[in-house]
Amino acid sequence: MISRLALGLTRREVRETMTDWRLLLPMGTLALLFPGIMVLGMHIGLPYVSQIDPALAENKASLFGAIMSAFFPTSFSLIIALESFAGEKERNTLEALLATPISDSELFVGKFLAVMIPPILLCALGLSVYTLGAIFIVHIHVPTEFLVLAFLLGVMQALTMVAAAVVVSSQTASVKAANLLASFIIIPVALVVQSEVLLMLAGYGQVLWLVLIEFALLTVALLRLGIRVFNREDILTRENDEFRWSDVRAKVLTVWSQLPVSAFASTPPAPFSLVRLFARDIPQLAGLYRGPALMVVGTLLVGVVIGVGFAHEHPLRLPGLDMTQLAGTVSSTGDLGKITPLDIFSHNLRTVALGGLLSVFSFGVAGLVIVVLTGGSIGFFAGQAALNGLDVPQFVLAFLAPHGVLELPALVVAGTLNLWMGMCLITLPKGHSLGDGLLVALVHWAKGAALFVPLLAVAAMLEIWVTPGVVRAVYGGH
Amino acid sequence: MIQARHLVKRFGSFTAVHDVTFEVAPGQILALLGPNGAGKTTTIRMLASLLRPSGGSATIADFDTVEQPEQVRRSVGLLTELPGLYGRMTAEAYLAFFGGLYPISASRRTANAEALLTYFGIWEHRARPIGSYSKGMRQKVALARALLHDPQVILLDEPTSAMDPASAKSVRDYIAGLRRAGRTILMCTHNLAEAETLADTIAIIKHGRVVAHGSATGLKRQLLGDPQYEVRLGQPLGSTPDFDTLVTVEAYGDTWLRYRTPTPEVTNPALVKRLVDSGAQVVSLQPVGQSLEAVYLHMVEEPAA
Repeated sequence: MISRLALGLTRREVRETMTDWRLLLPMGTLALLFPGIMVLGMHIGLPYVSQIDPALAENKASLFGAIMSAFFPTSFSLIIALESFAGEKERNTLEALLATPISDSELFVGKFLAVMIPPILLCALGLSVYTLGAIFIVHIHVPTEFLVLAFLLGVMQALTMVAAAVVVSSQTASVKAANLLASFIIIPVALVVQSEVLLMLAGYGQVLWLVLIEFALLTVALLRLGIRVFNREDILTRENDEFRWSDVRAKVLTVWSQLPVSAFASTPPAPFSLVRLFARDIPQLAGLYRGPALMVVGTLLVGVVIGVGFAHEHPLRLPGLDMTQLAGTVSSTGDLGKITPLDIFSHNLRTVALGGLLSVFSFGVAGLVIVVLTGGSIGFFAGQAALNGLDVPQFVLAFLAPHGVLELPALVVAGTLNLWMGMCLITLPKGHSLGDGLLVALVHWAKGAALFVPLLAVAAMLEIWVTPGVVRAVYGGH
Repeated sequence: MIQARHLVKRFGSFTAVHDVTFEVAPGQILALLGPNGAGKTTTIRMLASLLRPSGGSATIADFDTVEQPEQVRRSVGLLTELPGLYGRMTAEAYLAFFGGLYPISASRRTANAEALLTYFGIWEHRARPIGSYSKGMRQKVALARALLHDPQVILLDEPTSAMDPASAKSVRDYIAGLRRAGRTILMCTHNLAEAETLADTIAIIKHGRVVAHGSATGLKRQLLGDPQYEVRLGQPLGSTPDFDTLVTVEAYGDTWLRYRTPTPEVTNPALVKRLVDSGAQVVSLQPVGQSLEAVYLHMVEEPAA
């Protein structure tokens, strides 16, 4: 239920937007002119295209036009959102609003609705112009399902951009800084829109419903994050966007010296030592991240199942498979033999670090990708071994167990910390900034690295120096 | 009633407000004085539940600023340091919008807005966009916004800044009226004469600490010593009467005498009588050198403790 105060705020802001000609002019242009251009382009181009593929106009080009007509007007939501949050802070009008009894969540909801209403109206207007133009000028029928899909995609993309803009705005002190950061929103969304078009042209239009669901999930995550980081104190006291290495260094050192359980509390730093790291910090991290760790283990198992399923879908029939020869190849001095433990270790470490980095931008999803790929490859090879009549437990014990006994736990630890690098943003304790959350996650990642990096190093040595010997011992060969 | 108890506010390693304690009773005005960056606005923001104190506590109209922020904000009227108005709205629409955020009826909101705008001389301009107003008019609209819901506690950050003398006087009169109506008022100002005229108590804040607190008269006496007076004579005295038993003489010349006394209401008439009795022509007797400005400069120019 939306409160009276939030609706009052929404009314005021919508009126402000809809009576400002500096906003109305570009919004009207996007909603009327671009769909008009789309219609004109189709009117001129489709007769030529129809000579090559008569069905193209009806099935693909019309959807393409609908997607674009819906996207252009909604792209304006980003500007309104940045203006509504960072702009109001910059014009010093926010403090008076914050001093009223309106709560943080009412303020957030009121502004969010106010930012969403004009783009939704424009999206509907743009699509209407396009549809009418398509029917009466181009003389093609745009299927209703396409129109609904294009409208929903446009609205959902606007929601995602606005939710992201709120997060960006609340972390900056000026419109200028917010606009710069907004590039990180508009560029990925524009890329997704291009992908949507490619999917549609390739004949996978139905996949766009999945894209819609993906945007919805992303919006929920961003809204949750927005509500978490939206607090009046942080908005009021953020005076400048100056970046100081000395401040970052001091914060990192403080969080590093704190025990993981008190990372967000303002407790004084405790003396740090290597003994403390392994005796207290890492056990505390294990307790704190029990949930994400279970998710990682679950994802690994799901990966194995997917891998087995994939093996059955794409079986590699190897009638003359000679395991003795294969065992010999594994330990040969050929190209394979040139791989060193350092190569394996650095590859694994790079993969883990990249997963952590990408996890930040994907709310943890990228952190799970390496886990599911690892599980998938284990499942795939085990599946192929089964399909070729090999003893699967023996195969796994010989090829995986010697180094996997360390590499898999290391992967679970690293995967958990990677997952948290993204999840920390949506589970941020109230009153803490994005920077606080990321900093704590990064420091915990570094502490956890004290465990998984040595495990990966030893696993790499075992993989090169021990696993081939075990394979030879089990299957024979030289 | 405003109660601040050992308020502390830290921003990272910087302490903006350090152990600030004071109390303002209903029908009283406390003036918070101090140089720019002393922590006045941060204190006001903590009292208005905009900032969470790092230490200590505060209550506004018996509501805790941390535990009951929404009740606090309902009870407080805050005039922010910068007016922060929506320039494209008319004053009438602006006050209607802000009034709608408080639990007061529409009819009372409209009546209050009309009364405030009329008092501040803006009623005739109410249909114009605020962006077209002068600085002083904008400040008055901001003040009207703060007072619209008839709050029990009023926090004013620079209430007469950017106003011409006549407007400033009308605002001061209005504030004095609010005091008479039993409102609890805290105001930050750089206008020392205004503080002396309006405030019952004065707190001087420097580097986030309250370095002096009391009535204007009490502070002057405490920091500058007993009140100082200067008497001027029409002609030199033939013989100097013995004043030392009456006052503490600071300096004197042929036709003037400067002295201090803890009880001017008793000693000044006695001194004048003694001078007249000794044949002197008393031209004037007036207090010297003990303005609030002297107190303020004495405190803010002292090295921090």
